[in-house]
Amino acid sequence: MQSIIAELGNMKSRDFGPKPGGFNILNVPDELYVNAEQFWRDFNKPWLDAAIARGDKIVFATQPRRDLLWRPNLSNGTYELSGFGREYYYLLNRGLASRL
Amino acid sequence: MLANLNSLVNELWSGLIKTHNLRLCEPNDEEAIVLGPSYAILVWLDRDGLSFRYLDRSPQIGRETIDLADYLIDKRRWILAGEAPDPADRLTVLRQGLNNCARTLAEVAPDILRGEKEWLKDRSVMRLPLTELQHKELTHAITACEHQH
Repeated sequence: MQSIIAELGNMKSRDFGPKPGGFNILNVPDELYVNAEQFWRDFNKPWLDAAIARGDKIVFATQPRRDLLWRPNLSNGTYELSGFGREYYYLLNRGLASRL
Repeated sequence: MLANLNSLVNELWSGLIKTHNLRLCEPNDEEAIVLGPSYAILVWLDRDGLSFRYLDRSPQIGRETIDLADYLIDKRRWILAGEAPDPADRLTVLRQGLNNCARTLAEVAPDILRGEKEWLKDRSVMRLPLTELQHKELTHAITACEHQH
């Protein structure tokens, strides 16, 4: 995904609206990120909800592997869902993704 | 910009870098590369926070990385350098992640820091392939860093 963003010119935006014939990438300005929970609540989930409501086709650019769905929490040495993991399970629970 | 990652690595890993004769490269504000004798530790900052990727560069720069924190937690021991910070305080979270990783590497993974490769024979270690673009950019950054010193 980072490669796709880099090749598109890394344009940061809060425009989650429809893009007929195109596609949406969630890439908001860095200043809006505080932590993973806040980012999911304020941006990631609303972005997915908008796409689901429009009936957009959602394509994973990354294989949903265990090591990508979960990541170490460096503050306490446990594991937590990554941003990608949150997206995957959110879509899976709505029948919009396949099981691993 | 929320934090200059290279400044933080330079500040918080200075002891580790000096003790183990490592070298800090500075490709950009969201990535740092720490070079060891035959490997690199890539420090990346993204929406999930910090990640540490091990990149073997012997005999040449590899095409896959290993999530170092995942390996250390799963196979060795993750050492906490202090209390878990308030998750809303992003800078403190970053600082503690770097401190914890430096301390863990120093205490339970000196073999990795020395450049030993025995641990890589463990096939259960998760390997993440680099894209062509990532490999190209890393090769460029590491080569440039080597020529600077």
